Amino acid sequence: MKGARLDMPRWGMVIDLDKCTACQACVVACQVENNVAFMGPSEAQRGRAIFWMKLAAFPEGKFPESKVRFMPMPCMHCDDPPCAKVCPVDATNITPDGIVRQIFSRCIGCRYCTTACPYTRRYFNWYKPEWPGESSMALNPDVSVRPKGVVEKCTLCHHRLQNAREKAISEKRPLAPGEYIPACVESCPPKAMYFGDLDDPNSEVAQLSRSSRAFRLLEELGTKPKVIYLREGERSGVNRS
Amino acid sequence: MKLDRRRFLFLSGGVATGAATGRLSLKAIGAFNEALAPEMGAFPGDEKFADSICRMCPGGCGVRVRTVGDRPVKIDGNPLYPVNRSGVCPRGQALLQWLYHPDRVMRPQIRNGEKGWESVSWDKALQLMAAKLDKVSSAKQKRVVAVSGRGAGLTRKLFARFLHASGANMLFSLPTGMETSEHALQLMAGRTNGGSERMAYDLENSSCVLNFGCDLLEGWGTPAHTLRVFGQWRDTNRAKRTTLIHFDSKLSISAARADQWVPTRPGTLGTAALGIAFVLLSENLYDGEFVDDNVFGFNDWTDTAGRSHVGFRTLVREEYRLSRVSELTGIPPATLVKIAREFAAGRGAVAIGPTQSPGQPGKLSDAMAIHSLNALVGNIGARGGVALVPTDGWELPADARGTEVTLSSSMEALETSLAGSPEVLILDQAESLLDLLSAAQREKLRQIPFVVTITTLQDSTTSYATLILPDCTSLESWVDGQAPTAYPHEVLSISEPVIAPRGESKPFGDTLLSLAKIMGGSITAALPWKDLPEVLQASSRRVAQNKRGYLFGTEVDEHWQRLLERGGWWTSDWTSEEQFWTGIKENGGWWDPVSWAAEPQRSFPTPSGRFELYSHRLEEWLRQQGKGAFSGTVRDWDRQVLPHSDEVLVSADSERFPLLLHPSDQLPFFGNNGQEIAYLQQISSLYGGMEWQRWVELSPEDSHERGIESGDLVWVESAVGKVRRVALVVEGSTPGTVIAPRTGNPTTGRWAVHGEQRLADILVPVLDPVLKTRSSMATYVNIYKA
Amino acid sequence: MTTNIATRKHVLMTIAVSVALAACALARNPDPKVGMKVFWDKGCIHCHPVLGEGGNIGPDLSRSPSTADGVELAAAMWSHAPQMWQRISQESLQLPTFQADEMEDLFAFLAMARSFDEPGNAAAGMQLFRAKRCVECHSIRGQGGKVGPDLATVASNRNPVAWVTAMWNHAPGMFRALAVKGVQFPRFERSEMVDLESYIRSAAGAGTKQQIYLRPAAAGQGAVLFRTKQCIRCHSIGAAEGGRLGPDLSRVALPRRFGEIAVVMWNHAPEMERLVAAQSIPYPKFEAQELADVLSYLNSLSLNRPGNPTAGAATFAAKGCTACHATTASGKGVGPNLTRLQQSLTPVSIARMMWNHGPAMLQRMEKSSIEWPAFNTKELADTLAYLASIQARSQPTSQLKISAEEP
Repeated sequence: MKGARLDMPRWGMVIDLDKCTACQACVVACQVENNVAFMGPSEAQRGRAIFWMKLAAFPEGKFPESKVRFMPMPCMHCDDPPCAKVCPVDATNITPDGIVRQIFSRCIGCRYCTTACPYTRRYFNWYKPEWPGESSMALNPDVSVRPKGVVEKCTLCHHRLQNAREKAISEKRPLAPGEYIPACVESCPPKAMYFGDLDDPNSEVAQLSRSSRAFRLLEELGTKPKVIYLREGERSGVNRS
Repeated sequence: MKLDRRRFLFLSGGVATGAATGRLSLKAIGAFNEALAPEMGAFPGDEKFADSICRMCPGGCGVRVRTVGDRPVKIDGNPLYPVNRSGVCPRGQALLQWLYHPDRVMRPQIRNGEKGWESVSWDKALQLMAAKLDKVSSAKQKRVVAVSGRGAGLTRKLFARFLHASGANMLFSLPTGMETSEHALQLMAGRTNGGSERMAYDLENSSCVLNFGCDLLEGWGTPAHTLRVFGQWRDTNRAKRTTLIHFDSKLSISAARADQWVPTRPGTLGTAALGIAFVLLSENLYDGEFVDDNVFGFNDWTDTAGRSHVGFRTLVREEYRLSRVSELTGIPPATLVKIAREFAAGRGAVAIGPTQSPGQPGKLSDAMAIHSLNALVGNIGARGGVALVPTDGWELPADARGTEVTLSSSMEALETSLAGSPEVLILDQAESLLDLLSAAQREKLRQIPFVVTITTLQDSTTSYATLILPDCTSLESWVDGQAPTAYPHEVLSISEPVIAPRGESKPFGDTLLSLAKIMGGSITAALPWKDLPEVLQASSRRVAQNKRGYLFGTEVDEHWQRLLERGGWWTSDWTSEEQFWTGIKENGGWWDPVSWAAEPQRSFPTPSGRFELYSHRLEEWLRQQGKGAFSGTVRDWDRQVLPHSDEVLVSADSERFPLLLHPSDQLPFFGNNGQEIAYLQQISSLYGGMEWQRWVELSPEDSHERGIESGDLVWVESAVGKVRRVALVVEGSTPGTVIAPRTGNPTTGRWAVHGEQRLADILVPVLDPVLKTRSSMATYVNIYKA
Repeated sequence: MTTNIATRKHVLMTIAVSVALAACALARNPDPKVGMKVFWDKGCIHCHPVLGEGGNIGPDLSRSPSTADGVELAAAMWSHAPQMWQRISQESLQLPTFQADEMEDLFAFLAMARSFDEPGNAAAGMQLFRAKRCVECHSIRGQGGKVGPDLATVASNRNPVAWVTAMWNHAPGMFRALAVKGVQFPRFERSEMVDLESYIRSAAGAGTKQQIYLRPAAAGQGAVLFRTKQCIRCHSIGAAEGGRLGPDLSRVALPRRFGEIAVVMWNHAPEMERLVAAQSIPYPKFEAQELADVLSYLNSLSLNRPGNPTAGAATFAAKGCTACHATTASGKGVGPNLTRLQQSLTPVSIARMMWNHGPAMLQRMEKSSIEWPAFNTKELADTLAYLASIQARSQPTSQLKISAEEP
């Protein structure tokens, strides 16, 4: 792990696929919180809509044994991020507490990282973001608006961490668990998402990450993703964590 | 402010100089920032949180709005609001895009020529409307047709009273989809006179749910509540995980997320339910005690005239044998047996359905079949079950004459009124009405001389309008909320405006009060209040008299209150009407977490005093409808009254129209609106690439047969018309059916795509033989490349 | 001398502070709602259900006899402690520690949960309605006898106390009617009243949309009513006051649940009616809320359970506590000197000490192969009394030294 220190938290997320209702509240919450540009019909049809959090749908099987699996996918915030390795200008790197950050002003728009990411969680701003009429009034002042030509992706709502840290410092106390929570986790109506310090053995995320239902995506690639999924539950009627 | 090189240098020079000389002002920096990032506008201010009620759909969940410098920048759920407790569906998350939509109607508009609009002042607009209504009411009665899609609440009640006072006109509300099931339950479980009731499910505590066709996760009930309940069912802190079985012909999101999707042929949901009943009866798994003591019509019986009737048990045993049910529904017998055994295994099982959506309320006989399952396991009124609960909502204080105003939610009655050439049509947030009417009916609307639309955005109703009155979103006005569809507890909520109304928009409730003053006389007397808060405060007085219920609190409070009430104790959160009013504003509302009896109902206000599988009221009704002169056998008559399932729907012309069209509703556009909102459009196509379009989903088999691939333009043709759509081939979807979302690209506003016909134009409605309600479940179509 | 003045000031300050603290401790009303939150947050709910909800590893604390009063609960907790700690570590849960407030609130919560009646069994109630012959006089929505009132009229009551009040107030009338009919006065046991109520409510069914609750009872108000309703004329409360015709209500082991206490009263109604008539005392009629307050007062009486210090000394020695704990001011031992306890000796504080220090104690004991001592209620009460008697508080000098050294 690059830059990991013992006194630092290691932020991670757990998504319980059993509880997920595929409602996409997390998708929209993220877009609103992070001033993500939206696409009109022609841009969207070119596949250029930006979803920092995307709900991926995987139809399986043939009728009548068909099924669809849904997986909300934010940036995995890999501990060994392939995107950071390929960036020529160090516009993307991993912070000591495990967030893979994107420094928009440094990005030169080469899009090497969007190719390197095996989860396809990075987006390029093909267009200048437009906020028609007064819709710019609803922009979140804590998050910058990206220009055309840079890559963007999920930041685990890093601005919320900064705000929470500053508040804790001004009140001369440590950051309390639950004080920093990304917009997607906060928004989830069935409470299927959990967030916290993976290195704190007593935290909910740490405990859930050790669950028998836990798995990570594309682990075999060695990216060490910090978003952990919990498999769907069984019908037997007994809840297991 | 346009930033060109010169201006940039000027500003940055100024800032640099200021920095050098130490006389840098905030104003200078502000100007610099504004020039660099014009969209950031105002300098950020203090962060505050304000509570409001979302009204993106009639449900009305509690939201918490983050404002920075008095601008709302984020919406999330309100943890104190019991219905959703800190979650909102994606529509709620997109609320700000609605609030600040560039196509908001900002001032009253009067039609000027073919396509033009002229902005007018409120005075002029209201004078015009008052004059028209006066003229009509003095000439003939019932020449005004008003339709509200707004959902239950005080504004709708104000509207109803206004219409009544101004000429005994009736207000039509758009259906919620629960009406048929509610009717079925009222026929079987009885209805107390003098109180209005609604059907509710205690889903939070259900242990096994059989879902017959309801789009549970796509807008059933009130979305944020249903989504929350789903999460509770699978919460690892609960000992037992709730089982969810989904019967439907399409693999929707709700079907995919269930524990088991049971593919069921379209139109056979009732048959499937009776197949389950067959297993319960033949394996003796039903609640014998409840059935013996509290159910009528289970066994064969003889009436007062000496005729012997067949009972439910005999009918099911003889006509719904598993082999027949399996043949009709396509469900393997073993599946039915397994599910029936699970359903009867413990307490807290419930069956919901059929479909229960505004466009497909289901058939009465199917609804009765499904409720019979609930009765067989004795869960009427029980924990996790279904019951009729009293519904009052916010009451308008009675006027001097004590007028009782009723609304009608009968589409049939509405259509009759529309067909009767009214003079005035008022559409109050009624965009979804247009998807329930046929093309011919919509054309007829254009013949109405004076059409008023109350709306926030330009939407499809504005194209019919003569006068547009701009309405506010819930963030800009006082809002009242109440228990949403199917929610088991009584809730009355209230919220203050978070920001001032944008432009010259005005909350419709206030508009009505102003209009009442202008029109004078008995109308002013009927609506004597100055503004919405005054109405709310007056209404709250009655609620303050209640010797039960609590102001909104946290989940800990809720648990505590339930604990106390279990033992029969109640602590009052208020001691006076004033304290109640202050408290309800501060906490956001009042509710009664214990209004669900949680005790199985043992006494029913039916003619027999029991839960009637053979409903006497239905029998009487059928006789009145002329079916009394019945030439069939007694068995045929009994079959009509008992829960039964009609013939399977078949195509009239299976050569030309071999595929069955399934209209579907999606969560982002739940309630058939919101298509103008970009964030919602973007999430509307889960299988990829169809956002901002109108598409149909085909199975690989059917598309292969027709040489159709994803992305092809196709015609979807039925016996009554054809529309063009983009095809999407979805793996695993049911062969022989086509799923067509009712919604798609917006037809108004800056992203409008014109010329795409509505699905309603090709739908062939199926009439329920008893209630005459329409369902659009059986339109047969063919699809071919365009 | 400067030192002496400073010392005296210090003494006064300390005493003042201790008094103030003690006063605070007495003045603080334990909050059962906070106690419920403590029960959740500390993880107790993970093993113990309350009123049927919660884990299923330990017993339901609203149903077990040990939660009847503070001393019983503390004794049961103490005796079960090693089992509990072992299970907690097996489940990989964290051992909770408690602040004084938290333990007080928790006890208050458990006492409250213990006082609630469980929902009755309507089927059993139906049997009773027939077996006790109520049906011969009473109807429910028209079905049944016509001598007494139709019971659908009282079906809206949600609180068993309200039911009993209705019955109690009608008792004299019922006695006459029963005598005429030659029917024996129906006596009830335990939860039968609640079952009956549940049956009547479900049979009265559809008409009873209204629900009538009572406000949580106030023991203080009940004490006042106990006197104004003249109960005190026959029933004494302790040696101090009251009559001798009926039993001393501070010495009777009353059931915990309101519904069940009410049943005890009901069963005695004929006798009581006879005796009050003989004394020319008017038969006391109640409002439902009043009866609830009185029952709450009676409930609170049993919590005064004085222990015997002499017996406590013997118990203390017999359990082997003296092996580690000194009981003289200057004594030393492996464990802390028990004459210098900072907090008062109540069941709540003992329970708290047990949770906070117990695991360390157990570890030490296991090393020396000493068995963890179990206490029954009497033994614990006596031991607490004994420990209270040996406290070094009466000697201000030694107290002063201690306060100066210890935080």
